Amino acid sequence: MISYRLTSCLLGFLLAFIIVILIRRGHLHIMHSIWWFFIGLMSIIFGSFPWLIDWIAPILGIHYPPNLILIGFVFLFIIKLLKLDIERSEQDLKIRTLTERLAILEEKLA
Amino acid sequence: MKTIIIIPARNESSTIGNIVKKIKQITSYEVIVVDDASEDNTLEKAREEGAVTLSLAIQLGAWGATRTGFRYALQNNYDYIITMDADGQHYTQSIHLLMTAMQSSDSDVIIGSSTQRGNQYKKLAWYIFRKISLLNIIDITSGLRIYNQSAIKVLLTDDTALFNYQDIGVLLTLKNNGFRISEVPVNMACRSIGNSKIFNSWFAILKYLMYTFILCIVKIKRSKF
Repeated sequence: MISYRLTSCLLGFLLAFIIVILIRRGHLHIMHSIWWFFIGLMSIIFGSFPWLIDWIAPILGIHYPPNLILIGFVFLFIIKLLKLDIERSEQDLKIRTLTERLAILEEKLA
Repeated sequence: MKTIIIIPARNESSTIGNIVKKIKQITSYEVIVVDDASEDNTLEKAREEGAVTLSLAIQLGAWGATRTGFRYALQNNYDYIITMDADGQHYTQSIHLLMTAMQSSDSDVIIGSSTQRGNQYKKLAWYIFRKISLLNIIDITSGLRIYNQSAIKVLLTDDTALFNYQDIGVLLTLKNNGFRISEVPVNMACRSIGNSKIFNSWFAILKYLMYTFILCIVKIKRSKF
């Protein structure tokens, strides 16, 4: 049986590695990657040094430290999802405006 | 006074030609059909009868199509803009009614409203929306309206781009910007062909109710602060 520290450390590095690969291949816009770099960094730090969680959790009044990781990630993901929907709305607005203007241009050219 | 009639249309080839023809017979107004990415020959039918046509590359819904018509009207400096449905629900004679009402009042927007339309449930829904939106308008979903140019300008801002329908959101935006809205009663036909685009299933109704409810909350809040 391997140490849980090794498992969490490996998972952290794996996530960071996947993010770097995705950016290098151009699947992820650099601006979007900042967030994911941050997530990767966090997973490396807390994966390599799990005692950090045991140290922070009591300060925040959480008795069972692993809960902090779950709550933390759920919170981060909700923020990210909200941001995604906001960006989607902005894009929707742009597409609609473009479509409207395109229709008028086409009529002018015809 | 330059007047234009905007008809947003999606897959209405069975009715659109007739509507444009009738309008051309009784008025000299410019008719513009905005084709909302139809899959049939709506565009050709409208063109044959002498309407100016704009065609959307991507389906935007009735409101997006109407907005495109507004853009055209503004660029070509029309003073009055009339909107009409493409499904034959509105009688062309109502155009004169709206025009006379517009010229004899100081309203910025006049809605041709039909009170006999709709069943009990629909009437109940409208009643609730009237109450929560604080709009004193009977027919909030009518697509038969006349706007003046300054109203159109406000409706072409980014604020309204994401609306889905030409109803409460549009009316609230106008009201929040201090425009005067009034109504004239008109007769409307039962839909000759096809069913309502908005209310075609229970799920669609629920979605529409939720959408309108949230819209009311958001817009009213904005007008207070």
